Amino acid sequence: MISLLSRTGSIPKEDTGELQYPPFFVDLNIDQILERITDGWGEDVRSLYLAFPATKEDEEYRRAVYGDFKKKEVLAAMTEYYTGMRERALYAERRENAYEEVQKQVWQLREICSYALAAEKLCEKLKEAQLASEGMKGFTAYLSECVNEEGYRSMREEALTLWKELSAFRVVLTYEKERFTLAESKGEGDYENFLAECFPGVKKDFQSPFLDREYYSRLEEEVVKLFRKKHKPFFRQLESFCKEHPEYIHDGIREAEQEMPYYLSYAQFEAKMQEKGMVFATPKTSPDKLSASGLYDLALALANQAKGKDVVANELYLAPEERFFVLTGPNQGGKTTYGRSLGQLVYFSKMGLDVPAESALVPHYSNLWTHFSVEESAETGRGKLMDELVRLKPIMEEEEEGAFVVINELFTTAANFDAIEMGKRVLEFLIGKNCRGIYVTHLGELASSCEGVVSLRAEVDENNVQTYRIDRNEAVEPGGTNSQVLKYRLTYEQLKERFS
Amino acid sequence: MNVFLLHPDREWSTANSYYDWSSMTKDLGLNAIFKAAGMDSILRSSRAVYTEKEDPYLEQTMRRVMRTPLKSAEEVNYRQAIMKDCFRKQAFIANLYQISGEVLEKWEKLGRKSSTAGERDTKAKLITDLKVFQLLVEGMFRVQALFTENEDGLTAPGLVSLNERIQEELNEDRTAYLESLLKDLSFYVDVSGDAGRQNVYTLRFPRIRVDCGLKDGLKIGDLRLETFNTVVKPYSKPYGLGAKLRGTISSLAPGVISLYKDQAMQDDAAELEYQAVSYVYSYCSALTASYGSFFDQLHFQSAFYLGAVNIREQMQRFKIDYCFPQVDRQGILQYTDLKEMVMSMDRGGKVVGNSGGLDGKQLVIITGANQGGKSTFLRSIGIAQVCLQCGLIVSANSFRSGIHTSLFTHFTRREDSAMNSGRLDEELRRMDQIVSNLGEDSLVLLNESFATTTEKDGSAIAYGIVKALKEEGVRIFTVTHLLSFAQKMYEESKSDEKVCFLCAEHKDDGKRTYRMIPHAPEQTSFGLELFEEVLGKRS
Repeated sequence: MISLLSRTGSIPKEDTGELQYPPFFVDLNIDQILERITDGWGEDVRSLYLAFPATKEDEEYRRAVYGDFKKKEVLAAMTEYYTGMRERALYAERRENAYEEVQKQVWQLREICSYALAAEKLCEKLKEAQLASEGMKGFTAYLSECVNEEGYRSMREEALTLWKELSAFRVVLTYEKERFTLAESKGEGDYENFLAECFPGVKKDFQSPFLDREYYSRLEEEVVKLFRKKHKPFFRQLESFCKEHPEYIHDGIREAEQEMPYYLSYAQFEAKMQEKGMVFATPKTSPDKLSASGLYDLALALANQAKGKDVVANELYLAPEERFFVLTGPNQGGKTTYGRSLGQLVYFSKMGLDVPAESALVPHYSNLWTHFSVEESAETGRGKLMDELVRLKPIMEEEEEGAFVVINELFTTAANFDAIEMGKRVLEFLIGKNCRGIYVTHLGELASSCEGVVSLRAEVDENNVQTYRIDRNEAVEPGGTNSQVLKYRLTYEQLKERFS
Repeated sequence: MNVFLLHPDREWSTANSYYDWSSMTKDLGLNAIFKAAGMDSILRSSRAVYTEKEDPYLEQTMRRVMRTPLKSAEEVNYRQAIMKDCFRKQAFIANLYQISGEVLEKWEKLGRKSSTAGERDTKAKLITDLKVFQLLVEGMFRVQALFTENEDGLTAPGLVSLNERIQEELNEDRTAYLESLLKDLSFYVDVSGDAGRQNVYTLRFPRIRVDCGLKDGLKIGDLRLETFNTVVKPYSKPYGLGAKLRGTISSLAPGVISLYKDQAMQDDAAELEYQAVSYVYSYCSALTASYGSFFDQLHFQSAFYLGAVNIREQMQRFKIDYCFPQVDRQGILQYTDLKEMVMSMDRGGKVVGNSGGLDGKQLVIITGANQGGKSTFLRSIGIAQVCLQCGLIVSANSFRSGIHTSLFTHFTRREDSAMNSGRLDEELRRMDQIVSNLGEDSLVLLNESFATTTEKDGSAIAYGIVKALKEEGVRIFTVTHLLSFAQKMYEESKSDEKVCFLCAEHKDDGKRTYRMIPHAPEQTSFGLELFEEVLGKRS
């Protein structure tokens, strides 16, 4: 059986009941991003994003599948197919709830028709497409096999014929004072045509008032009675057809329908965001080098988009022999944002999806851990420190090696000397575990605390205004305060610069 | 349907308003003008008494329209032409305002707002929709009649083409269609017991014929409406003996189902009826939307012109001269007997006017005696500019200026000028916002800016900002007491043709004329004189 998510076959579906995000989701604002990706997709789809692929090979497998998926023609075909299959599922639901056996049969007929049309169209489109991934090639082969089976062919022929026949039945209903008349006569008037003349270019649908109910209305009862009397052979054939095909969907296709939304939701999201000017890149894998250019915080970009603001993109480079970034700089200088963007880079890369950057080179990391300081609370310093240490504990007790770690402002409430010492120990531990990552802090001393640490700084311009750019630079203490005029950038020189 | 009385090519929208309108309103005292617009003092029959009635809608409309500047001479002339027609035909504009107001009011009573909020009985809602449709269509006919009546007196392109659009929209064919639709739908509206229209001796019944097939779930679908109309029949008891007889007889015919005593069938009939009416109305709903917004716009746009009529009325009462200002190219500014409009109306016209020309002056620095009319002069320029840019009249014999859609005021009121870093911060913050929002053709009016800090500090701040803005091509008028600033500017640019220094005139005997004359800034700001005038000489 083919799985689109794993090369070794289907991944076990965890039945955890309520959806629970991994701890790093909230820290990195991936929960916000996910809301947007799965907007309109529902819980089931969201759950596909919660766990990393089991192996490095699966990460690559997914990346390749996704590479095929986001090709314009494939994405269009998949979207169309998926919409068709959702429709089919909806019909199946209606069948469940139907009121009479013959109604159920008609629903089933409709299901089979829409299944057949969707599957065949997809198969045709995929065969035309240039597919590169093992996963998609396998799926296409399987699909092709399914739609060429003898049993399938005869089923679809019969279904379409029956449907055509049913669609041809007509009757004319007249409602006048105190009575209805049912007849086959035609051509009395054409009010729709009158409306079209009154309102050129407008076209509305005249829907049956009884459409949304499963059971027949009294009027429909009469109409159906009339039809069944007039078309007895048709209804007999329909009955036997439905009995012959109680199950009509191939298992592998049913499976794929569960997995497809993973790629589909992300590809649609990515395409939509690209239209709005955001950049995404397919990360390349590297044995030991981490680098990216034009890297940005996707969650911030999504939030800013609503306000019409841009985000600052940054560069990233971590050489094979380097272990950890320590990032310092002024408040509100974009430090946390940078840390988050790194975490997001690793997350989406591990998921086999595209990353928010112009280009990226990402090694395989075993896992992703984060530790973010919580909002200032009324708690005492000790309480907060305690809380931080408790949350740090699981990471410090990890057996696993080679994870990527994002730490944001640890120990802010502890005395400086203590904080530096504690920070150093955390860094040493993580480096000892062969981890890579970034440590955002206001403590410049950490930048030179141990081997393999790279010092980064959030830069300011000559007027001490934040630029949100992050560069390799020595850590410095934040500068002094500006006068009011400087603050509003209203000196002659500042104004000249603003106008230039 | 478009109204297009405020712009030649579009309906009213608040896009591109002045930046920080609330400060501008306060700084220039524009509230008095809005108020004048809301004073309905038009005499329609007798000339004996002025009856004044406040109309908050007129006031609010003037406030909103003045907020968004026009961008070109064409747009200004377009409004002025309509305004001239309205000044001549006051009854016409007043009627237009009234008819649109009545339609909107009735609509409101039918539950315009509540129809969009919350769940309501769908049938009741549909009946309301039909009533609204009827109301709007009939309202359109009234507007058409008003225009037809006044056709001859309309000369402004805006009014002429609106008339053409209305006549076209309601041409013979269209009128016939609309009347036919209203008739076909009438059985449904009358069911609700619209007592005024219902004839007790007749009943209205629908006749609905539908061609349909079988669809999913073996339910009827793929419907096609063949017949839909209202049949008027003499009154008969709906389910009386006669009906029973007719029911029995007709059900003998093949394919006939009597509704007599069949509750389920009656329900189905009601639903089909509802569905058919909704379907037909769904075509009309676009017209409801179009005519609805037409009336909204018509009411709003006619309110602006009626407001202008009222402003003129007020000015005439106080014998304040007015003119239609003229748009010229950028940099031109000429005025004769320009009065501060708000103060004029307040003081019954007894205000000194200024005449002069500031063509090509990019920076105007005004200094001089306290209470000498400096701020008044600055305001008179600001108000006239705002009036010009919304098509209104100006209280002057003539006023000619370029268009400055990016108009800013930065006024510090004397009473605020306590030494307080919080206030300076506020001033700087506003200045920063102005700088961030400067446009192509900015005009900045500074009144006593940076007087909230020391003279030295304030001068330095003002100097830096004014110099940088001037070099950027921004037009600046500044009233200032910061003499170090004014003098430094004077020394630097006394030979610069683009810079002009004005001073509040005072005669040798110390008497103030409230006129602005070209003059170098002087060391004393005559505060002492005022001090002496008020408190007497104290040595």
